[in-house]
Amino acid sequence: MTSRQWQDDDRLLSEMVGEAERAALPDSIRRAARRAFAGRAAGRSGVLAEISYDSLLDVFRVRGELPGGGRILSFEAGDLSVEVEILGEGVTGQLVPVAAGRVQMLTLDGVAAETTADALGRFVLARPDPGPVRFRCEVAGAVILTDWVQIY
Amino acid sequence: MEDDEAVEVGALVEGAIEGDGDAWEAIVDRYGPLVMSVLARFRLFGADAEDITQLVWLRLVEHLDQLREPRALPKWLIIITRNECIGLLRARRRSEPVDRLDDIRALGVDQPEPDEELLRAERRQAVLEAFTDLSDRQRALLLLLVQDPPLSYAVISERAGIPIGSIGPTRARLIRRLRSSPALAGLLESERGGEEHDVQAVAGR
Repeated sequence: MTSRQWQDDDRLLSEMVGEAERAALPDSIRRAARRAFAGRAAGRSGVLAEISYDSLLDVFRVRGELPGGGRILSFEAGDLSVEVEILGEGVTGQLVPVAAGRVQMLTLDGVAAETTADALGRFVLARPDPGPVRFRCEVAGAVILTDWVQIY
Repeated sequence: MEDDEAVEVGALVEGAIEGDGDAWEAIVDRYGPLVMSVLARFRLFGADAEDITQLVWLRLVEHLDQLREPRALPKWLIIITRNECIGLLRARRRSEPVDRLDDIRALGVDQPEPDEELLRAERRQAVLEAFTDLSDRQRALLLLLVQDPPLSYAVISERAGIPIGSIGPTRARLIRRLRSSPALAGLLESERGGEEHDVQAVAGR
């Protein structure tokens, strides 16, 4: 697949056509992009906590597997962080700094569930349906919005 | 990436950050095929591809602020898309009693480094630009010429509405035009340079 193959006319032609065909983005993918952009205008008030760990992608964990098939996610924004474990039918989480707060689980349709975090920053939610999810957390006077993650 | 292209991408990113929907769509048009090409290498299509691109766009919207350096954008997209592909395949294997050989292959091989992927992306962009420069008639002929298995000149003549005798010369003109298009000329030039270096390297041993 070196570019030198371009010296060959037929290859040049067919590569060009192939690229042109592939470049036609399916409508569904454009629609998804529009939806993502529209969502930005809606609820952008908070510090973005970026995903810093996902057990599903951890190469040192055989198949990303935890006991019982759970998944651990960490999000960080400076000193603030949110740890989430999705296991069975539930989601358990931990806010840092360790303090009481409010937690919302958001999907593309809006707030799917919300709860309070106890004095130790712990919270429990029901497992979300498959699809994109993010968390909005109010703790210690700050509002944290995590990266979106895909729930399987 | 050419400097003026970098400026253009930078402006699109700025625009999208400011909330300009057209700028966002332009980013999607430009880099959507790059995202799709990563998906294709993991052999993910249809609903799977939609799920992953959905997430990639959602992430991108939030990270635009950090991607003002235009070169960073395609690389970031490649990495995010690849991670999501791996995540999906791993999540799926969990729920299936038997490992799917295909998925293992997709995880283990066929994953070029981001830099290599960038080169491909630039090449792809050049090819697409050259294609865009062609007239509709030239494009139609081109599509007929690359059919596999090849069409006979008689069939091409009929479908393209040009005499058999002029297919060969038209094809040659087409190729000359493609090779001389600014987008491709630059890349072809650097290729030849690369070959000379190879020759020198061999001769020097």
